[in-house]
Amino acid sequence: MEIKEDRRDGVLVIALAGRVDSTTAPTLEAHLGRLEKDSTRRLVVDFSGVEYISSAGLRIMLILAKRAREQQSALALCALGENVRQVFELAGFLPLFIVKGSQSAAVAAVTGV
Amino acid sequence: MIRRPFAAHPRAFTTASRPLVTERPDTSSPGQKEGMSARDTLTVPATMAGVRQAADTASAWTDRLGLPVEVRRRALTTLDEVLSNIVRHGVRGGAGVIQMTLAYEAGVLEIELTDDADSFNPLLVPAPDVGAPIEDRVPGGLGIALVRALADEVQYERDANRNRVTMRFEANRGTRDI
Repeated sequence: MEIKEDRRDGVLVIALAGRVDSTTAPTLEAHLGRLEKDSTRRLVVDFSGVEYISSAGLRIMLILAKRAREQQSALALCALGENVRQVFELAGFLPLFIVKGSQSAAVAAVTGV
Repeated sequence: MIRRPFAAHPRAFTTASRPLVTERPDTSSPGQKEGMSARDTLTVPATMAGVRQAADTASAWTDRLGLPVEVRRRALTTLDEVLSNIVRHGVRGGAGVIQMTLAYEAGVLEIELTDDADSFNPLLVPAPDVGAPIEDRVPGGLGIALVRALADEVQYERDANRNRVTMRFEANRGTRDI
């Protein structure tokens, strides 16, 4: 799994690539844990490069969602492939997130908050 | 006069009529997946490093067979759930091993995982409440719910002091309605 960080219109964009599973989830969790609280006021997670996500990855997304809610920060996900979307849907996770098709739409969604 | 055809001699059958080169079905064409079959077994330690090795192997194996992306992703997601479950709950002290058999025949991918840990049927893990509000969400049980949903068939057996989970995926079923 690759993790890329980008800043766009004051939004931190985290782009993931590869597989988000039990073997890579600890790396992602550690990476997200190192982010300064101020830098995640507006956060987008881009899934366009993600091959698949398992429950180990969902667990981290749940932590992010809970943290965003506690800190009243804005979080959006974007570019979920068919398989990733299916896994989110099966887990009942779609209602927990703002989900957009493109990164631009996700950035716009969190800057408008 | 009785004619005895030369070919009727037993030795004529067993020697002269046997082709020198055995013909194999052509599996080189990408459109011939129905006719392909393959089977491989790998044994990995019941650790996260072993899970990574099994995932890499399954990914490369299914890619080499040219299986559709949709079925590969369903299978690899499911595989991660069952493997990580075995490592987390099943095998104590990290000394155990997991045996993975990958098989493909007649359009069906089959993944069989056996481990020598205590009896543990992952299919008995209760399903999570996927409609609960975010405050009440816990990740537990999600993995097995995904296994049930993503595999076309999944079964558990306890056999000769080993746990065996078998998952089947139809390669050509198209996208499933959720």
